[in-house]
Amino acid sequence: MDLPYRHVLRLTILLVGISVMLSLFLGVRPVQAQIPTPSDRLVSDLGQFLEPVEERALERKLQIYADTTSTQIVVVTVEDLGGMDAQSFALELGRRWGVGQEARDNGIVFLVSRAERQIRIEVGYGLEGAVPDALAARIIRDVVTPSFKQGQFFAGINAGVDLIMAAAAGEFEGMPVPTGSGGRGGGNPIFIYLAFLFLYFMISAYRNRGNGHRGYRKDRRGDVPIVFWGSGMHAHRGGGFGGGGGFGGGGFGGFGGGGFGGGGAGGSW
Amino acid sequence: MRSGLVIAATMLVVVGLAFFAGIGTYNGLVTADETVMQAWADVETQYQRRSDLIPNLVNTVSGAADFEQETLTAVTEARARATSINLSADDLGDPARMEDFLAAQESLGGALGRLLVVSENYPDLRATEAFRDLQVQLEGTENRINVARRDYNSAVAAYNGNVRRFPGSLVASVTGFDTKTPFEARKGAEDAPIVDFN
Repeated sequence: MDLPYRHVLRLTILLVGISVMLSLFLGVRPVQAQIPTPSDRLVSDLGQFLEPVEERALERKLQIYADTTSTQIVVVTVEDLGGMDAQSFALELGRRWGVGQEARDNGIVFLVSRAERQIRIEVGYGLEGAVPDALAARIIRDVVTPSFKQGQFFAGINAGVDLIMAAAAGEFEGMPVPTGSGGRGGGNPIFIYLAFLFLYFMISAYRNRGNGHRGYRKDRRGDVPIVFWGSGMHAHRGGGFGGGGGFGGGGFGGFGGGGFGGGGAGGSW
Repeated sequence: MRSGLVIAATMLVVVGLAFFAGIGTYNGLVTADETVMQAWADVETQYQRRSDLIPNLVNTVSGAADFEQETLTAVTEARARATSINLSADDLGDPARMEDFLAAQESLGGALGRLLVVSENYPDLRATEAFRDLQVQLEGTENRINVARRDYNSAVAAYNGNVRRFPGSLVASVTGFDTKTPFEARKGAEDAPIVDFN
């Protein structure tokens, strides 16, 4: 008599759980082909503008800057823009890679394209005050372009980056970066929820096998702390770990999911 | 007796599932609706930003010796028209009001474009740092407007998809969610003067 009822109830909970999770998964956008896939570095010289030594020096400088200020500046060079204009390309790249921290939107994309001879400095929302369009335009017009015209690509990019760094300095302070479960891959709350839901069913099924005569009410009271324990773990995850900015070693903490809204300026050489 | 109970329980589950699915769909609609509102607020902010740049631009330009008064007046008037038409969030479902709003904004864009074209005849003005910076700011604002409009359109597309598709359509009709109007390239917009910012 209570057997179908209990099964039905359990099935209901399961289906509701699944539908809640499915609804959370909605909102995934299609990916455009020509934007490079996110790299684990701040300098991506896909257009072959830099010598390896120059690339490493720039990478190191940008990593230290990102570690101490949390502001992420990426330098991306490409062969061509695949038919997009430089502004849209840089914006899409910044958004898709998630350059900058999510809460601060402090990312900057420095884009150079060989085929179109285009330069674009795309500024995240959070830095539009520190690096206004007029400043970005002056940096490109007065510093980057003259060097590029003489074929001095590293000098141009490096000087431009220096000026951006100086302008953005003091806007944000360093941020404790969670170590260990690095970047974006570590810990989607949905999967954690899914894991605990699974655990919940496993344990409740196991218990029921053990004491088959007990009523549903009793079972439930026993199970509740497990669910609370699950959400407690989840809340703890947000805390992060101290760590600070370590300069040694390769790689950085990963892109943070900063937002862009069309700020910045462009130019051509 | 026993099988009757099973049937009753199953029906209860089906009704319960439909109810929870309805809640999920409703929440999805609310979220999509809020995303549209947010995107619309961004669009308005960017148009406002452009509008705020204009007094400064007009001042700088009219400082140049005998700048064409006609062009300046056109910009000032277009700005006054554009700022007089406000679209509240409730009007987003009204294509006619949207059309008015866009027409006013685009005529302002056109007037600004003409001003920049005319400024070609004043090399002294164009050489000043103030004018260059204003030009960059205007260009940046147009960029931001385009980005905000694109974001708004994709938010509306997602929202309208939710409202029109089953089962969202069912929930939307019961709870009173209407489709919203995306920006469309208006007829005649392609006749606007091409602005060369370089």
